[in-house]
Amino acid sequence: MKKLLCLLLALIPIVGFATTVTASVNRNTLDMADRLEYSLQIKSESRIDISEPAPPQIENFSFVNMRSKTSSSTVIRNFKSQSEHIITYIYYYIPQGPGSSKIPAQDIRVGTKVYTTHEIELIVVDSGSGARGQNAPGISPGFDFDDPDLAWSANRLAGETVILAYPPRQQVYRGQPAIISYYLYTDQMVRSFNLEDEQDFPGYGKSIYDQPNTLNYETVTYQGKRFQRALVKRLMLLPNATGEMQAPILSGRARIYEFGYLNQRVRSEAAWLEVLPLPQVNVPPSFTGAVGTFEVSDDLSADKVSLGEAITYSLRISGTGNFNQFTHPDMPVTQAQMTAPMAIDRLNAGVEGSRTLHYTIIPSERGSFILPSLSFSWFDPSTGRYQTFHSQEREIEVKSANVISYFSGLLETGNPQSLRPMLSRNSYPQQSNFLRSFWYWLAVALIFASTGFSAYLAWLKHKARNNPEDYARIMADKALKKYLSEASEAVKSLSEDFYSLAENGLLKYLSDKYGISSRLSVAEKLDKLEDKNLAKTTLEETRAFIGICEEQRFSPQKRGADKILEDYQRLRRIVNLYSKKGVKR
Amino acid sequence: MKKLLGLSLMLLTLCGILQASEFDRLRMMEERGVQNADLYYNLGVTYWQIGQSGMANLYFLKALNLDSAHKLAKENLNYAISLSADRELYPPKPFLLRLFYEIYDFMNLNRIASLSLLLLLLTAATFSWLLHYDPSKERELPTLVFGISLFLLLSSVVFLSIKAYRRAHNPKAVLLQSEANLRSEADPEAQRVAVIHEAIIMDVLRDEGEWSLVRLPDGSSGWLKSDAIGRVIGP
Repeated sequence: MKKLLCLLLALIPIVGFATTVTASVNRNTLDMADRLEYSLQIKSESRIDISEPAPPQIENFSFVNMRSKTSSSTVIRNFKSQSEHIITYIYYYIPQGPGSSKIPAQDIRVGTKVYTTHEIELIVVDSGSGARGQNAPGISPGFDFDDPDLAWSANRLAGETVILAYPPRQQVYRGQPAIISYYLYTDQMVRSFNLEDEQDFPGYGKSIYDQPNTLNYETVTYQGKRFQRALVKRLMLLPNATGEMQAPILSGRARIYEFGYLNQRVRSEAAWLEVLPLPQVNVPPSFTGAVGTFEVSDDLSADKVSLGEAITYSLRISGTGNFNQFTHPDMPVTQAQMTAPMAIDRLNAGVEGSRTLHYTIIPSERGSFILPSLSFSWFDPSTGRYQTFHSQEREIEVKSANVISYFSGLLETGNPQSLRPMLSRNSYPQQSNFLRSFWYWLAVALIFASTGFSAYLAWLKHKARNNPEDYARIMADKALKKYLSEASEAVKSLSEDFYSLAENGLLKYLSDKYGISSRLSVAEKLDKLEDKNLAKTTLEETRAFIGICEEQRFSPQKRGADKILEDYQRLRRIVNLYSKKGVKR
Repeated sequence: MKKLLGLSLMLLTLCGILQASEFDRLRMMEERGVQNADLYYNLGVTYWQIGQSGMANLYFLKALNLDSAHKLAKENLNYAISLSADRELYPPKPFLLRLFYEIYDFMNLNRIASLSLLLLLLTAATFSWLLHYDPSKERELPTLVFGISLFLLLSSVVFLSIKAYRRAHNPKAVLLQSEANLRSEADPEAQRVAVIHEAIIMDVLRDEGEWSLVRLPDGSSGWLKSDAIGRVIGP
């Protein structure tokens, strides 16, 4: 029993190897603008062995295309993996006329087995009958690789791709801009268009008005047939002669997807311009060749100025016309200097937009003068007549020059009329920054240090002047520190060396202070001091102290500690006397 | 005739190649971190020549940030502004203000640093003169000279500090997109305040996430996507 159960379980996957074939349509009721999608879906748990089924012949429908898609999935169920393979074939048809039709039953061979689909009833109604199916898709703009929802021709392989120039014929005046649009019309799957040549003809100047980078399709009806249309190029032609003239012919290659890509050469149809001459009657004297539809306005920056200052008169011409083919109107001013007008354009293809003319006026005399009326004439093709703009006369008051106005011109040099060129440089070193330079801060430190030193000297001077005693003490301390430091150290240890060190230090101090040669003997140095016009008491004190020092150097009897301290105080007093200002007699 | 045409074409091609290679050289130097006003100026001119007015203005501003006395960068910036779509937004400056800015720009950071050093030296000298001046004489003259030089020194140091701070924290930025909407809040759905065009110069007041609060030359302010602008200093 158990063995039988196991056998049954083992057979389940084999029995479960089912294959199903299903046929369906996107809708059963269609109108003439709809497209029929007939789908055949083959589903199996094993790999599907099938050759592509032929599209069924459907009465009253025309086959246009097909595509297929395949999917596989595997799931684990009850510890066993189960796979599902699906192949879907989708056939696209377009209805040929209203009426009823049937999709016949089809025999589909999968592996060794044959499966039969069921019949499907279809009804096609007129577009205007309102019986459109609820899920009817709109006509998609543009192409999609997987979306053949196009305005299909009955036989796509024999489809049409052409370039049409619009308008095919137009009447313009000489000098009037004429815009020609070149559209790619197709009922095929044109994925790209490569413009290769543009054949020109005499009688016009031209510029590109618009040239899209991509083919942006729209659905249109042309000669009773539906097409996809995309703008390829829009040219602006400026006729410079009269009579019949042919617009440029564009040619290029369209890349068409047709179960693979193929290239097709396409050439635009001819388009013609009939160029009329400008009327020769009632031509205004200020007409300088402007043809178009313009609006003109003017503006004055100020009506009160000082001598030397400048004012700007601006004339703004906006609209559509041959902006690059007329000369600028003159401003007849005699009481001021006038520059040639500077034109600032905001134009598309040189024909559409605005041009502002800036006239700079610098009055040359004090008083008031009239800025005369300026005239600008153009021929307006929309009315077939000449038009003239007359600016208003304006009174300008010119005052005396002031200090500021003398300098106002100095700053105008910073407003050039063209771009300055590049600088010729072989290398670009890192920009120096003084604030990050060591030398800069060293200079700052030196200035501060020298100021501090100067302040110290000034303070000493102040002391010497206002408090001589204090000054003398300070200077004596300095001298002691410099010349008698060793003697001071000897005092601390009450050493007998104090006398020799004190004598040497004191004599060196005096030699430095009074410029006495250090090669002289002690007696000679003291004699030299006599010549320095010093106070008598100071000299006597000095001689006495030197005498004690000499004596102690050679005497076997040593002086006591209290005597050494007393002599040190004496030494300080002598140095103090020499440090004092006004020590001289 | 054909030979001449061929030669002209070759020359034009050669010029184009040279220009391209020069541009690459300049870009490479900038990427290496070289900060030089002439380098930025030349980059600005090159960007202008290839039709990127926003980048051109940005590099002219960078050149002026390094050296505010860079005359050519200033002239080209003025020229670019005079041709920009938003030139009406730049208010005309009165003569005295323009004169002040001329002086302010002429005194670039190094010049004002040198002037400050000179004034420091002068102040130190007059200070010493004052200290060592004979007390028995009237001290008005050295006091006056010292006072003037000290005032000039302090003014110069303040000026220098402002310059150095502005150089390090320059808030200027340029719109690099062909057009952008200025909004009342940092939200793409917020009310549109203005439409501005490429190359307009603005001050960045604040950043908030992906948005920056900017002030236009006419004083109006609004929020703009931060990635639409190029800054003189910073990312």
